[in-house]
Amino acid sequence: MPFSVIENIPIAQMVLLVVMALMGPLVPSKNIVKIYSFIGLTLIMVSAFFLVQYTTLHDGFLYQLGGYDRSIGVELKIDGFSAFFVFFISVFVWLVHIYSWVSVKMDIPVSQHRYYYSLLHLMFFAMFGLLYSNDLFNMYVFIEILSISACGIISISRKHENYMAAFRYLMLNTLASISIMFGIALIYMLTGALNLALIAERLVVLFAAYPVNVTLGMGFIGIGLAIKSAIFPFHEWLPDAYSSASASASAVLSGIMTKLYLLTLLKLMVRLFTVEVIQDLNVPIVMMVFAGVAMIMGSLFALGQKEIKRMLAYSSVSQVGYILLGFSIFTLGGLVATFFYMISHAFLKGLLFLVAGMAQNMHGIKTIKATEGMGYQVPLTMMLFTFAAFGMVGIPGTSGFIAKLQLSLAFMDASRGGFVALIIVSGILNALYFFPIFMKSFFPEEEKVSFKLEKIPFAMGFTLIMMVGIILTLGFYPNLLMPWIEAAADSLLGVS
Amino acid sequence: MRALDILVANVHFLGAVIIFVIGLYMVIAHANLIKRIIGINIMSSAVFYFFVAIGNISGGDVPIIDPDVLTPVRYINPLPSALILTGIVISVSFTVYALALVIKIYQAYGTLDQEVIVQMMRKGEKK
Repeated sequence: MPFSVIENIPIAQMVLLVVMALMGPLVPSKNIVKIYSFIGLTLIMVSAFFLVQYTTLHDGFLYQLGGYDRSIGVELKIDGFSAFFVFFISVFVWLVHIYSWVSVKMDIPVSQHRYYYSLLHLMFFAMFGLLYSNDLFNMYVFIEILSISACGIISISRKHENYMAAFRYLMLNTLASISIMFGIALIYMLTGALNLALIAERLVVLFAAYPVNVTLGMGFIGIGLAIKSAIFPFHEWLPDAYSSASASASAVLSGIMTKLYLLTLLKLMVRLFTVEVIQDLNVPIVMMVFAGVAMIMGSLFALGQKEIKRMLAYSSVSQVGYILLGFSIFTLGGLVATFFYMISHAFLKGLLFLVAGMAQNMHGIKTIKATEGMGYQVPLTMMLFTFAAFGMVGIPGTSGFIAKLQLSLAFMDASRGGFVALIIVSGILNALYFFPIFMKSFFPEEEKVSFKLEKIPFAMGFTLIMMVGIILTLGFYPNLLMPWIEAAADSLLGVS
Repeated sequence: MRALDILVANVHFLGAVIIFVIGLYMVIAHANLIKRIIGINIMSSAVFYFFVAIGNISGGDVPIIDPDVLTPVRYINPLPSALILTGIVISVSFTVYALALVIKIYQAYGTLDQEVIVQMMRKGEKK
């Protein structure tokens, strides 16, 4: 087999991440950790860019680990879908990594800094694995790595409430993992294969004979992933986890981690169970009901919160509903719109969490009440927050507007126009819970004349400005991203 | 009698499900954090048991191929057992991490009863 550089990029990225994660505790100084993390993450981002370019122009390819046949070995599948999301994750993590140079000093004890970077790399590694892997059990292992390192990154702040939040998250996560493993056992029992493509081939035939097994397996895997991605009735762990984690960690958790589990769910539904079986079992209807309830209830819960970060966390619960709703129509247009929505939401919610963390750590603003008059004392912080909040509501000019517009259009195309009303209602609720912060900070009850700009450390400012730039660019030129997103949706739905 | 036959033929799967439910009951019903960790461990053992039972053939042979013996032998499927090794490693790492967290929680709150801890956290928020 001739050696080709592009085919070996995915495995090289993953090996690099593991090596960086393991080096964290070994090197003498934590500054060295920062330097090699920066170099490594930059390399990964650049290589992911070439990979997504390649898969958009050519077809995807399969990579057999160790050269074993796919019936016994592990296989990676690199196509438009995995390459695009890997690139998006690597950009997001690169930005958050720069932000965390300064921010870790404020919310994580000094002795833990190097472990923080190790955990970040491990999470990143597991996300790559989840996207690339084409093997059911391998995906389960990556899910486990992701959930345990996510719990670690919550408990690393070493505050009392963090321990309890991490413990709850760990218990629910493990329950979910056991449920997923039970589902895998049921599927394996029926098909005798672990490769997604092989299972899908056999499942189409076997479904007619053993519908109960397939339904049970799908149910167990579905419930497991629903707990992990915080779909509404299973969202119990999310507010505690997000609100107690450090600023950069909560941005990573809300920006990409829950989305990764949703993508895994989508990937399994399309590649493992196949769309025909899914539609036979009326799964789209179930998804729509869950999504609709999540969109409304998440927003209602957010309205009742007093802390800013808890409010943002409940807002994430409702956003998960949007994404699930977008998946549920299983059309090419719907997937393109939802993928764009995910990208847009990741940067908006990431920005919100980073700014909220900054306000809490540097200026002591933790509750919504405390924002009173802060538009005059810390104008930059509050302006960034308001900008991102406008994006979440969907004001034209931001990527949030384009995302909601496309989602609505996709539903019109799929002749399910009724859901547009749901999107609008949820959007109004969004505006209702972001509005008080805006009003309190810029129009306080007592007049304040003193107006001065606060200082934002360079590394944090760089990340925030870059995120604002991305949101605005996607708001004005959404077509920049479209070829990649279309290739991603096409590689998932186009073939089958 | 047919129902009984099916029951006997699938008794190992049934056993796994019963152990699974016992573990789940323990996780849900007990407020003690360590008991809940034990419950999770029982649940994962049930899944391991289920997984290994899939690969078993009654009267099957150990899956080691002897080049001298040419007559085909019915081998037990080794793959589920190999997968369960990974599963056990994951389960151990979960237990270690959860117990480490429990130590920290005990140092912070002085109790392992979840209901008491939640009450203490609520009081802390009000201050």
